[in-house]
Amino acid sequence: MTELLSIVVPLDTLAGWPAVQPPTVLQTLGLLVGVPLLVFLIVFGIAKIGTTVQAGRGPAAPPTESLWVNGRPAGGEIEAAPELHGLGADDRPGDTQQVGGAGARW
Amino acid sequence: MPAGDSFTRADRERLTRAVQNAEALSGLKFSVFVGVAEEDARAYAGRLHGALDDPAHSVLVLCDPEFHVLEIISGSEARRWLDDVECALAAASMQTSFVAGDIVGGLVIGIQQLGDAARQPKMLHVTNPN
Repeated sequence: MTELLSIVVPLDTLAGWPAVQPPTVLQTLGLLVGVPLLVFLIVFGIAKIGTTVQAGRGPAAPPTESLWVNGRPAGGEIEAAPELHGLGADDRPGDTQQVGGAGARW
Repeated sequence: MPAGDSFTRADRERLTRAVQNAEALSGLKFSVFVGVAEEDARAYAGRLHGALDDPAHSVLVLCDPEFHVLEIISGSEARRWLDDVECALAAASMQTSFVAGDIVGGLVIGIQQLGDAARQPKMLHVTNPN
């Protein structure tokens, strides 16, 4: 294992430094497997805690009251738009008198 | 309870500012309705749009956060400046924010996008010199 490491990182002991014992297989495994595993567990734990806290809080409550911005205040009868007649299945794309727009769901 | 109590004052101010900017850019009228729509949201939005002061020149954005519905209605005259493709693009932008739970942010982005798309450049050569 030490020979394998020496391919990547030169393991020469510098002159004047005491000779060191080559690391055991357990130490090498700890470095190559244990540390990444520990980092992974810490990241996973943080993510899990965040998810749990968010789940405990519940989804953000949608606004229950209607809001008009720059339009008619809420309340009152809404009359059918004359120009909307024919919109839907019988919509005629060439008719410029009809309303346009788009819709989306999420 | 008065309408719009679920929104903070800052939310309303953001929406109002976005609407004002869009109107200044485009010359169209923008209205936003956030609330529960009927089952046929498109028809409901159409009726709301028809009840506006000047439907032909108005753009209505309906957002139903409870049933996850978004509808954009542009009047017959507004369509000349804001076509359906641009509305669909704005709807897609809003949808992205709505999915993340940011209703107000999505509306602000979408309204700004609609205003930009409907921008009517000043044409000096057709402007009356007087």
